Amino acid sequence: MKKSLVLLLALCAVTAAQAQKLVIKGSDTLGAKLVPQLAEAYKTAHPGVSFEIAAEGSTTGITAIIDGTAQIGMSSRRASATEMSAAQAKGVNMKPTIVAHDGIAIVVNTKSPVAGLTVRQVEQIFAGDITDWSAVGGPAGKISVYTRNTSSGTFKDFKDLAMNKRDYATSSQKMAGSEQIVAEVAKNPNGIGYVGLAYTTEPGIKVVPVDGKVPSKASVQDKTYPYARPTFYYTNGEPTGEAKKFLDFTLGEEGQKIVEKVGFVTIK
Amino acid sequence: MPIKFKLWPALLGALALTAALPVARAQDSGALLDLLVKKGVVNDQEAEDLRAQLTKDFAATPAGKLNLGSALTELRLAGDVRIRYEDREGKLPPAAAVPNDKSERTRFRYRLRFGLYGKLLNDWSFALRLETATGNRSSNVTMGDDGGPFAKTSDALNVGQIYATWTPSPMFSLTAGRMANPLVTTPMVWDADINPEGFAEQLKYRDGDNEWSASLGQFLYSTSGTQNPFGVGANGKDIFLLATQFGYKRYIEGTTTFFQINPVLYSYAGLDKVNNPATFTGVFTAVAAQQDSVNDLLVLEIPAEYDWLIGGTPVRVFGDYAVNLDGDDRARKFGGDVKSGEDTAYTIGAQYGKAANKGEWDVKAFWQSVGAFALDPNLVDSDIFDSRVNMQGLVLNANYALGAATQLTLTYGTGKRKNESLIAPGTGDIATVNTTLLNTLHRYQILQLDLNIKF
Repeated sequence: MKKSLVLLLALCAVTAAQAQKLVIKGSDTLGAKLVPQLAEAYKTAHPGVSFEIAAEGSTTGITAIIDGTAQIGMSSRRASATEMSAAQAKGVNMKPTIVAHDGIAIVVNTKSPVAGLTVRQVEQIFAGDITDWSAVGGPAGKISVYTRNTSSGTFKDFKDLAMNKRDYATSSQKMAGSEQIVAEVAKNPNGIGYVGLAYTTEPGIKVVPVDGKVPSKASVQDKTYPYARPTFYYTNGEPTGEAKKFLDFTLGEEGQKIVEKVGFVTIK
Repeated sequence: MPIKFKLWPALLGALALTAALPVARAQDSGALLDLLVKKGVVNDQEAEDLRAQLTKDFAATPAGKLNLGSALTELRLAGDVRIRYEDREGKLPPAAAVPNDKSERTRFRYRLRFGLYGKLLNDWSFALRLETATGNRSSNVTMGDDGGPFAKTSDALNVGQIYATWTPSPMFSLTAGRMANPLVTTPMVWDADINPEGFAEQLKYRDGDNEWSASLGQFLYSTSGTQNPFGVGANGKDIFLLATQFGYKRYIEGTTTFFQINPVLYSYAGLDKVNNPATFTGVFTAVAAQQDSVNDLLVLEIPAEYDWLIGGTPVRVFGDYAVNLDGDDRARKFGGDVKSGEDTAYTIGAQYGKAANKGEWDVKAFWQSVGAFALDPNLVDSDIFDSRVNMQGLVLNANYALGAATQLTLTYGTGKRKNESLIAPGTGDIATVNTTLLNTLHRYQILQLDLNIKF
């Protein structure tokens, strides 16, 4: 009887250890490629851990931390003052940790002859002031603007970094993720969009230099590329338990190798 | 490296100072943090921790809880409160049914006007101003007038102004909505509380000491409702008040000494349909119900003023002259004539001082005379001469600044009917009964004491 009880307790303990699940929600920029690959590598070393990853935009990641429905909130933007205020009202201490750097690349169809844009032209195109490629040195043709949707951190970051906080052109088409933007621009010779560095090598698109600069490891790290930005894990205070271990793994040598392999810029 | 060593305490001090500023301008510290990172004083993560802390501090302030639209570049809240004591008296002529009968009305009143003014991207702006009271020529609420101890029946807020303005150039603007009067005018012609509804276009050009301006107004005076109704119902038209004003301003010394003149022509469109709203389209006659009519009004108004300094004190002389170019027709339909100048109106006065800052004061006096057929009685000032035309008299006014935003104002006006053979029509509020009788007003006086607070 005693042996049976000990065995049962041991089994329960093992089951509990194996049921460790890390819930990560937020940014599509981070969550579509980078974090799943980090999770796979982490699971190799920690087989008892499972992941639930939902990449539906940075806003959902920040909200998840405020609501306590995730241990880690992925975000490609900083939490706003109103989000901080909402968090404080619930006793949540929003703690950002930079996990990788990124550059928001301006991409057009590979058939487009446009070889470069200025910061001002980028603002005018995405705000709807310029609607035809002939205004920026291209052949006549109505510009199709593809942006992320409103829950995206890149959507907001791009407004802040590239558009002087102006609203997007009403004719702009809002996509659920970076991959959709790439797919649309690759199909449309008059298309223009923006994606994180990790998506710039997809077929059918090319990166347009802005003020002569293209996003690269060097230009993002030294912040000379105009649309360079950090990306974050948000936690409620200093992370603990499995969340801390995963964050340490992300910041560690192995994690940062994955960061670089996926196309982001490492933090060091 | 030595530079960095000297620099970082100063930079951290500056950052701390920025963070400590009132209304927590924490989010403005981004550039400074970026510089600190660039200089190697802090690393990216340390800067991020600091940025998050500053954002949290900012979020704890009232400003941090606001979430304003991204197209908004400026938002201003402003308004004023006025507490007023008023006494207005009227006396009927000796030949009235009750000779020399007197009506006296004293009131304690308050007024609130609260506005939200925003500037938007792409040269647009907007305004929303809420006001107490429903009257077109007053935003005053009379205390104790709503039927019960401290009831709130008459204390509602209404939309006083709501308009959008497009200003593609500093020289041109287009406004649509219910707006502050865009015309340069005086209370002789327009009550200052009237916010016309419709459209206005304004041009202004300055070359050295000369400034030219033009203002056009298309105001919806009254709508006919359905212009083309089903069935046999007769068609109607909206009534428009059209204003065309040209202005010239000559700067003589700085901005304190100048002369300006702003002639404006008013005409009315859409009066030709007999089934338009009867209030304004009936022929102007002695019948009480038709004294608001605007037939045969083509008014030319010429306001002008000269401003200068005497020993550093602002002084202003001003005047306004108006003539109804269709005065003959308006008089003929009424059964009167214009021989005694009943188609003209004028005001002339002077002001000494300007009560802008604490302890400053000003005094103003003007004489005003308005012929029975000279002006639109629906627009003239509601206090001076009780919203009536065919009145003339003297007005004295004094202001004292209790503070930069607080003023005491004393106004006294005394007048009489200009032409005793004609009525003095208008929708005044000297009394709430016998309003027809009051059209034969013989003497009138008003006293107002105001406490004004601007915010």
